[in-house]
Amino acid sequence: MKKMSIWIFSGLVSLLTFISLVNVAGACSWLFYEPEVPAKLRQ
Amino acid sequence: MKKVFLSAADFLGNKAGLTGEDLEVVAYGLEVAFSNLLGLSLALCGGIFLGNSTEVLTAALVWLLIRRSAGGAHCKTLWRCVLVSTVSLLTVGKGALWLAAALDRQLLLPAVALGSAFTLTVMLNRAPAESPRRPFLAAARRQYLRRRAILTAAILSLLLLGGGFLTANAYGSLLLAAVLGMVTAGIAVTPAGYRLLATVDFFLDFSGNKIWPGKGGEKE
Repeated sequence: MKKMSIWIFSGLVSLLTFISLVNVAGACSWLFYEPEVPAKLRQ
Repeated sequence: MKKVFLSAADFLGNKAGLTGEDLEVVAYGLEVAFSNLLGLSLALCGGIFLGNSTEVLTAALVWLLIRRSAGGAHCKTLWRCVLVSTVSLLTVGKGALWLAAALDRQLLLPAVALGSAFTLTVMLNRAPAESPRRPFLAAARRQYLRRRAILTAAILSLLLLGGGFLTANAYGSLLLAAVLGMVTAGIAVTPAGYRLLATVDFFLDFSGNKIWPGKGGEKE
């Protein structure tokens, strides 16, 4: 059970990191809101 | 609102063994996913209620394609953004339906050509528009986004003109929704678009503070 929860949380974190990377690759967010880009993702 | 996303990222990160800057990246992903999903869901619900959901979805898709490359004006807080995006998409959807009914079929293609010419001109002169929250630090990246924005606008214009011609304007409202989506995304890149959105943002902040003092004007 514990192993499965680690998998689920790791998958969720990977998905959110993927969304961050895809979003930061474009010029801006899709709608009219632009969150502050984390220092680690600034180019 | 940022604190909520950071807390959620902290919870997820602890379970997955992340620390420091990686948590900020997860919180950013959470904020982006939440704001976009919320805006799109509200616009879609509004579209279903008003009977123009396909036009709203078409305009949203065109926005996605153009704004990802060209950038544009932004609101300062999530809730104001969701409100402005939803109202804008619903207005574009309703406007497309109204124009499709009011315009003569012969005038649809010239309208598409006019909207495409406007967007292409804006892309050639203004794209990509920089946001203070996401500065382009590398010149090569700016150049890449500029080329992408022009190419996207050109391909979309060709697709819409070709689609309108081949279908003999049978899907006039969808065609106009796409063109109006292109034009609004183009306006958001111009200085006038930035001023307009800043005024709306200021007005919403002011009204929020009046309705709910201390809380309505949400902190950035």
